[in-house]
Amino acid sequence: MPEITILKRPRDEAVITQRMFFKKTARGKVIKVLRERYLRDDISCGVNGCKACSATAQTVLSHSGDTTHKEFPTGHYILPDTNVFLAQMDLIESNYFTPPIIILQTVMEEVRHRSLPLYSRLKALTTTDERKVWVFYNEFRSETAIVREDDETPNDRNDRGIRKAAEWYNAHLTLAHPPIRGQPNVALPKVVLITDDFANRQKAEKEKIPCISVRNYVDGMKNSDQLLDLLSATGSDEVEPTRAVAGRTALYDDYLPMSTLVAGVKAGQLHQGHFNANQYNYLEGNVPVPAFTKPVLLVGRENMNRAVQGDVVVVEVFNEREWKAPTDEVIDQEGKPSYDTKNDDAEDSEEEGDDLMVHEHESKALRAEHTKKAPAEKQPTGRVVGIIKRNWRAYVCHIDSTSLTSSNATSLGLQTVFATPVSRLLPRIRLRTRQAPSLVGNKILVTIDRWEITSRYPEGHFVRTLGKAESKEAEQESLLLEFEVPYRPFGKAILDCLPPEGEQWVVPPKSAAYPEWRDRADLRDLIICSIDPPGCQDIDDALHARRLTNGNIEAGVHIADVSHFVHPETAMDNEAAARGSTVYLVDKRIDMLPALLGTNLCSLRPHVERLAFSVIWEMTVDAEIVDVRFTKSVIASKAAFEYGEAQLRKDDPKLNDNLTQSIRLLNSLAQKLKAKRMAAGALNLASPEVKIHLDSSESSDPVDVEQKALHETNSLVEEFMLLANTSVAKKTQESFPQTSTASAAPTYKL
Amino acid sequence: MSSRIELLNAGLLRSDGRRPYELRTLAINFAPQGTADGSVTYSHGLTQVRVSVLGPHEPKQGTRRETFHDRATLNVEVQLAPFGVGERRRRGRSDKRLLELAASIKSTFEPVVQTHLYPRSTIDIFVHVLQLDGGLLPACINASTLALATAGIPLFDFVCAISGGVYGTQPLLDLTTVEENDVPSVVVGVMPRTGRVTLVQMETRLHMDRFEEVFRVACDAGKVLWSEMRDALRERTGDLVDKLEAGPGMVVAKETEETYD
Repeated sequence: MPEITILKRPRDEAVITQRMFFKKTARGKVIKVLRERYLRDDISCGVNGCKACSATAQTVLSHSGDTTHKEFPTGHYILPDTNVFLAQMDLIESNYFTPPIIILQTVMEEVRHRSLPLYSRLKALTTTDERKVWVFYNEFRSETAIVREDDETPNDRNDRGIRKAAEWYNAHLTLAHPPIRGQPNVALPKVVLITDDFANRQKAEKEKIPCISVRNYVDGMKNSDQLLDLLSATGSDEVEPTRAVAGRTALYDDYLPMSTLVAGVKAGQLHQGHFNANQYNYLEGNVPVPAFTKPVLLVGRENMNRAVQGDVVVVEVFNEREWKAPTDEVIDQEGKPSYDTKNDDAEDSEEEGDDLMVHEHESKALRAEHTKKAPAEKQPTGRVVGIIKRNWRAYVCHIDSTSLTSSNATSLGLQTVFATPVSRLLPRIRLRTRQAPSLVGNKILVTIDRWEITSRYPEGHFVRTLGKAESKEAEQESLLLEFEVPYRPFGKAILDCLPPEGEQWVVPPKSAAYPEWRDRADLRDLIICSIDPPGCQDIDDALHARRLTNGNIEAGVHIADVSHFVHPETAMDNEAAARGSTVYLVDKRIDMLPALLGTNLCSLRPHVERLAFSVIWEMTVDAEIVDVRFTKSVIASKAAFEYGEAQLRKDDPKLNDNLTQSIRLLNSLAQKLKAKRMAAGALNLASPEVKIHLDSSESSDPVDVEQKALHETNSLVEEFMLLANTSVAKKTQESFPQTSTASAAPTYKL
Repeated sequence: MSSRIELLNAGLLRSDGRRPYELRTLAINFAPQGTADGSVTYSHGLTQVRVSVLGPHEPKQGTRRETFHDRATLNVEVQLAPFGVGERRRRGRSDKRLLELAASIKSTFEPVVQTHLYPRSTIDIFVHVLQLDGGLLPACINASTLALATAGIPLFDFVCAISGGVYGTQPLLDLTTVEENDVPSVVVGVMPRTGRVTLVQMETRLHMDRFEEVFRVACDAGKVLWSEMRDALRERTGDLVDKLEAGPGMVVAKETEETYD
């Protein structure tokens, strides 16, 4: 156990260790807050074999750094600033991007503050084993901690902190590599500050800190070809001011400042809502807002003003005379006349005249529709005046082959192309890439970086290739990505939560000494069986029934006790919460929990002992519940049936063993339960289930589709699961009346 | 957890740079205050309390009823300075939280102070909270122990109190306000020489499996605090003795010693 100590904070250090700020509460009161921090010297730099840091600390960074970069032959580590992580996360996550990275606490916190999704990606990066990433807690190390000065913005303060840490690291490395007597001084590795902020670089150069912009850094890397495409467009501003951006005409209105938006929404003049694109008409969208019963209609590019599906936007509603009705016609962005596609060039060299043509075409399409509508169908119409929150993610796209310039169809030159998203709700994305020809015909992943007022389409960058379009793998992955199903294999942190015995895990022999047996009933002798669809591997429920001596029937439902293995707030719990459900595809499944749990330890397989949660009822022969109890238990299932198999067994008059009787008993109860449920006004909403036949188990290509047969036993399992759920719901409602949530249909008066 | 501040980061550092088992800086000042028989200004991190002990003395006119014929009564009053917490607010004498705090202090010390030596008398403990950043009750108790000792009131033992909490599965010691707001916590007061526990207070819910670990760690931390408090008290007594020997009072001290012999 670590020692308990009292940290001594000298009084004269209060300037640097205490921080005072004012905070405004939700009620509008201003509160003065004083915080302190303890600066320490035991925060390790993370470099292997560093003599100055304590030897006990684990280290991640190699002793000599990365020596493959052109500019830094003596070895280097990179220290990116916050904006690099905010803008270039795809680059940093790429497997080709291998230099050792130092992430400062300042940077972590800034990223956390700015974007939680990026923060969780960053955190995932720090925990993967194959990457050399070290988090340096610079705010707590006595040499690198800084205080905000009076005339400094928080941003400037953080930049200064980052520079200070970079400076310290470079000085510290000389300690990590003490000169050895008799040998010439070895050239030291450097810690390179990576930032796209020009002013920050200038200041760093003045302080003699090695620094470089992201693009220049990637240019010098040995596999820069693959990496340059991953660079986000946001960072490329100052590097390539090739086009006279200022000279171009603005196609869209600027957004209003955030404060105006918030004030406007509060005053009720503006309305906030999620933007929904119309999938049949790319020139139309709507925003449902609380103030109107019908959603606010947005007609035309200018009024949609760069909103993308899912963004939280603020709209201004026009005068009621200008209200319109939505169109019925399908307007497709690819299906435009040919002169249009030619002029609507990805290279963006469109001149004023072409622009007008596109515009005219679009407005004609709009006019044609909106004049002939009856006034009754009109709905609030408006325009987007600002964006509260972008909800951009990576989109599955394919390259629009017509946007490739024919002259360089085979060259590897940099060109700008259009990527058309699979989802019809999204606009085309303009993309700069060197590998355009090789990407044609592939499904690729593209992220939107920005959408300037001068650009008709958003700009994005290439993330990775999924595979040939229409190949099964690529299509499957693109479906998973489009529906945001997390399908990555489980990470190490999650697998570490599994019991160390793995497949060999067994229920220990019965004894109070084992925590497994604490508060657990021993139900191993009961004749329990499970009934599941054919080929089921994750058997999560099992049943039993037997006659009691008093003439009543005891029936039980046993659910695998997952909570024994998945503890709250662990990596596995969080991952499972994020996944939410196991996703079944035709030929594979995407597990919610690692397979060891899902299909083995938490699967109530026959003839092995498993931990379970049991609901046990005592019922009369007429299926009236006399008593119910809930317990953790250890069970040993006696058989795992398929629906059909169980049905045959039940119907076979020759069979009369315990198991068969148990099934018959359950069945008789289930029929009575169902009758009661129906009499109480239950709805049957079952839709036919289909089974997809596969060629053979190896090739796994689907060949046929068949409707699944429904057996009596299906309804048996269904009834008992329903009964278990209602019993458990009643119990939780009773025990936790304030926090339990039971979903029930409202009672209707008939 | 949804808190905007990460209470314990991946490097096992808390939001103020401490590790889970590190306590905040401690400062003990025995400067006398007015007519108090014993007084201490005790600051623990950014929490600062001033405790004055008066007595034992004859009970005030109105409170005669509450006196006992065989022992002294403890009278604890807690006041929170309006500037002590972020939000300036006047708290009257009837503030329920302060009354409860006073009651906790009183019940903690009742078995520790040798009250049977002073029948029909009162010992006043006045607590002024000057600054507040978590761990209020422990600070009040530790300061009261020291103040009682400086007032010359016989105690069976010190009482050393500390707060402990659990973040995830990691026990934390000595919580700040930020941590107290988010983490289940328990306050433990131990009598370090005997190892007996006179106070366990829990206002939040803590899982049973975690309680024992936190409780043990807090008991150990109490002993660490004890050595610190004992040293401070010894130093102060040493100072007094030195001054006695240097000043004119020396003779008096010698004489009284002789009479006792």
